[in-house]
Amino acid sequence: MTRPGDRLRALAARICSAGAMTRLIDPVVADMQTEYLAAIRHGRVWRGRWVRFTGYAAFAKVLVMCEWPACADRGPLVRAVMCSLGAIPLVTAVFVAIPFYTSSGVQGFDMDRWQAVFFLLPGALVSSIPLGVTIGIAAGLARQRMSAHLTTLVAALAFVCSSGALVNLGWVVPASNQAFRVAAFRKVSPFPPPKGDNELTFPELNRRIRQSGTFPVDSYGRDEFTRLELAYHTRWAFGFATLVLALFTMSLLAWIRRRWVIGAGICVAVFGYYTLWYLGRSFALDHQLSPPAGAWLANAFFVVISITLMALSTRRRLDHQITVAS
Amino acid sequence: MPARRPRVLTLSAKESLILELLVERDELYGLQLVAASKRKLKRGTVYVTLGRMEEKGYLTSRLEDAPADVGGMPRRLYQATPLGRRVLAAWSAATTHLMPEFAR
Repeated sequence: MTRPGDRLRALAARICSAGAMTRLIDPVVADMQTEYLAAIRHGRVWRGRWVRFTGYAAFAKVLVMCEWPACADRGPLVRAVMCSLGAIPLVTAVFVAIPFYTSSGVQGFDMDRWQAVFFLLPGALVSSIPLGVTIGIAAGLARQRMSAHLTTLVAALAFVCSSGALVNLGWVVPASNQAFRVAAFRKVSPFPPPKGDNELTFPELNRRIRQSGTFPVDSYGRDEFTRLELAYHTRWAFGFATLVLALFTMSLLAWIRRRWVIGAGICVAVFGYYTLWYLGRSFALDHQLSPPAGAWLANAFFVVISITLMALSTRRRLDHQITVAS
Repeated sequence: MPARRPRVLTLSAKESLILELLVERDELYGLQLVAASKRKLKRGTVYVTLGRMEEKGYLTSRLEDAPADVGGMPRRLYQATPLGRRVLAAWSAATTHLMPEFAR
């Protein structure tokens, strides 16, 4: 059985020195495990959950505090973060501006301009976070030697962004979508419009899937079940798009030095990602693929490509070192 | 070439608190220190402070002899060294002497 913190400890062992592990990481993990197991033994489940939560927070803090001053990759990492922080608002602004200034966008609704921006923002972040992080990594780490340490750190940051994107997709976007619909149709109807697939939060979507999955009586029921399941898995897949695209960008950076080629590669990758997602969705809706497979098709493809490129790059570097040594 | 000046031993407020607790209770692990400090020490920073104090030589640590049925990794127990005790005594004396109104 895996104890809480064992996986995090294994991850930290890849980043931290042996001294930092003994003095800092191991005491945090040991204290958390002892306290957690004691709480579970006494049947205090919520206390155990709280111990885990605070333990993970302490672990993250210790990891940053012990690793940051000695981090040789601090410069490139800060550059990548700053570029990402610059790119995300820019891309978000573009995504908000498009429906704002097009005739089919929000202009037809009787709504305050800034209120509309407020409702559109979470939806725009769904695409702008993966795109902004991808652009930020490419701009900040171009011509940088991608060590295993730097790759792990950037992947960890991308994972944090993915988690944020997942929360946004699961709870914030549905709430803002429904709020937008209610505000937009206030004058037309006194009743709030019923929630569509995009307005359901993760728990609501889950509940609806269970309900429709219980009685798949006809082809309509089967279609609805597929559609809802696809919506559910697509959200998870989109949440992890940031991590997937970050991995792909890093694998590209390990091979390519020219900035314009990197830029072109990323454009092709983003276009390819959305095309594959669209194809996967279409196949799933036509029952040619299962909904999870259709939703995760683009992610799976890019993960495989990224791992292959990284493995080839490592092999090439090792071959080069052997040649130089001999 | 001028002779290198000896390193001046310093003690921050957190370090002083940790030493006080360890002198008082002999041997404690990280979370016991957090609990004993009545929230003056934070869970995320206590381990880094303990590591730094160990580097300075104020503390020494050992792994506990965990009973087999506990299941978790063995915890690290901290104890004040003679140097740590001397530094704390000197620091307390200096505080009392220089700032009697703040002395505990």
